[in-house]
Amino acid sequence: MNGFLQGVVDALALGSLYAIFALGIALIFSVLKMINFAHSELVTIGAFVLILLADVPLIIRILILVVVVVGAAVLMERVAFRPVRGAGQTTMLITSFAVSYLLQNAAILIFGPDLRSGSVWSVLNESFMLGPVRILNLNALTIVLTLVLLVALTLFLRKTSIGLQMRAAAEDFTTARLVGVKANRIIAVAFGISGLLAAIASFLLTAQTGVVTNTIGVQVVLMAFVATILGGMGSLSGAVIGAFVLGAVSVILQQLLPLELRPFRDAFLFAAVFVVLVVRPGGLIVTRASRARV
Amino acid sequence: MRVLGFVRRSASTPIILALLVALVTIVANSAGDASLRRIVVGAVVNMIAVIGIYLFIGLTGVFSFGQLAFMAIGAYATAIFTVPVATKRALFSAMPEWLADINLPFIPGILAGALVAAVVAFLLSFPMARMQPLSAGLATLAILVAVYTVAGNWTAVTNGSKGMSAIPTNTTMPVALIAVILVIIAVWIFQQSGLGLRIRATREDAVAARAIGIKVGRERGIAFVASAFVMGLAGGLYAQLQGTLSPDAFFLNQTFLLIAMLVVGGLNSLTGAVIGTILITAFRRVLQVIEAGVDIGPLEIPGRPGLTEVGIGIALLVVLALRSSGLTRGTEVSWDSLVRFGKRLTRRGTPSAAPTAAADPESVAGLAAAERTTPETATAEAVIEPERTPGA
Repeated sequence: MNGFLQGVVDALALGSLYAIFALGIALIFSVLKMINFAHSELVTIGAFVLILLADVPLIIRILILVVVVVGAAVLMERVAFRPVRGAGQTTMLITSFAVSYLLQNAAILIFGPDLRSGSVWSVLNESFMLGPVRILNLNALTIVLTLVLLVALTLFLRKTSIGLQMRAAAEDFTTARLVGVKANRIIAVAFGISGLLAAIASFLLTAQTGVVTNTIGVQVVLMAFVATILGGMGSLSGAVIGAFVLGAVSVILQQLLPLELRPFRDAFLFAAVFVVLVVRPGGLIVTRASRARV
Repeated sequence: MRVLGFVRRSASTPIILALLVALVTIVANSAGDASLRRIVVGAVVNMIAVIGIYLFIGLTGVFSFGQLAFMAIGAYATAIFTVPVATKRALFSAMPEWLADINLPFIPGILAGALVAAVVAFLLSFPMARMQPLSAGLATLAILVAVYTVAGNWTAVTNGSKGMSAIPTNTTMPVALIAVILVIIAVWIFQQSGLGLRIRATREDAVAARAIGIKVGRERGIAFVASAFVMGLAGGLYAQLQGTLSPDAFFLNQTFLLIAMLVVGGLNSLTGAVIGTILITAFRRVLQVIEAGVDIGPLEIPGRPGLTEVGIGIALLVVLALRSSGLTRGTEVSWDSLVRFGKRLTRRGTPSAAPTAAADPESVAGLAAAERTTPETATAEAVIEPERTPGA
């Protein structure tokens, strides 16, 4: 029973981490219909900030982290994505892939290929007991932060004017523009929020690993992609559900798979996602905007 | 005369491309030392892979990050089929008996490897066909990660992260050159056939294509399997070129490089795949030389790791921003287009004709449209065009 509860907590923590990544990707997708590969590099930039400034007090470091990553996200949109916005989905997809590759290698060019280590906040690596279950502070923080973010994002999208405009743009951008939604502003705000999500994600990820390499964001972002397809492209709640399902299945596979099959966990995971997509090609939650005509 | 007419109308593209590839390969091959020659053969193998990617992405318009998974499958399968039995017993002791006992000569080994890749793609094509294009594109990324994970951990068959070694090296320059020319011809015939035309129709407008009775999912599936076969072929040649294999050779970095080649040349044409590979390979070579550190007279530029990749990334972004359909803009080179191009050059040379050339509506976009209109595509466009306007 305790093992089961422990597993539930692990699954929730992993799912929460995936969810923060997946939300950043799903948000951009819902507005721009672009899968942002470079989201992982936003996380990498954040990780570099945290590790390189390890001597700066935590609060100031977090402030710098948020400013730099949100700035990078908005800049990325302005420089790379705006010029190709009208050029079709494939072009935008390749552009984001190219930006991701460019930044990954720019990190090598600037910081060298070696990995750097540093402590983010040592308190997070301690743990406490909740009844019979031992919970890592970091995991608790991840779960709580995700809940807070979900509530905040929901309120933002439902209660503010710009949130409403963003939902309208996600539903049908052309019509939204006809009734006065400013495209550049909405897209910039979406990138800003996804930058904030990436900053938080990089904080949690770096606190966990304690090291930074130029590809630190890639592995988790791949998982987040799968979570967004699983949940249904373009649906924010779908992305969150997909992330938690993926986290749960990861933990279950890790527990149940025989030892010699464990290295193949990701392969099984992706195979499982494939099966889900055969049964429900549009993902778990199908949005109106993403429904295909063929 | 009728034969010549046929060549001019329908067969000039593959002939021009084959001559171009042969010329570039032979010149580069005779100009350099042994290490450059090896790079040239590698580039020819890359070209086959780029054409393989084109065969799916270019013809269907569905994006895929996963085609290199099939290159990996082809490479590993070829390696397993062609390493001598005794060597396999000695080096890969964990390999199952029946697998270790297989031994094929070079060409059957490569074809069998490509066939394995195609069979895997065939099985995957059914779920793929049900997905929407964008989901399918990401699902192929899942395939890539899954194959990478398996190749890195399935010690019994792939020797895990240590990789395969002692693969016979039969991929020489003539072999690679003949292979790429055969692939160019085969892909050309495929894309000009009725089947190829139907596949391209689904790219132009999936709704309209379905309205005239084309089974969109099925046609995409066929392109997927054909692409996987060519990727497997490239993988087999790669294995037989390198002599060693590791999973990292078929992951995201290599995927990016090959996609950059295709996109710079132009996603939607065979000519684009060929030209893009040549240009990016040359550009990459220059960057690699600079990255290693060069002295230009008194100026000393120190080596900087990462420079090559950054340079290629920037090049791709610039092409995407300025000319997102690539250098060829989706058109194929042909005898007629070369003649027109030559005429344009000479016209520009005489001063009196210069203003007319500038005012000529046929200048860039017009020429691009004209070049695309081989008789077959003209039919496809005519069918799709009226449907597209209300749909947009």
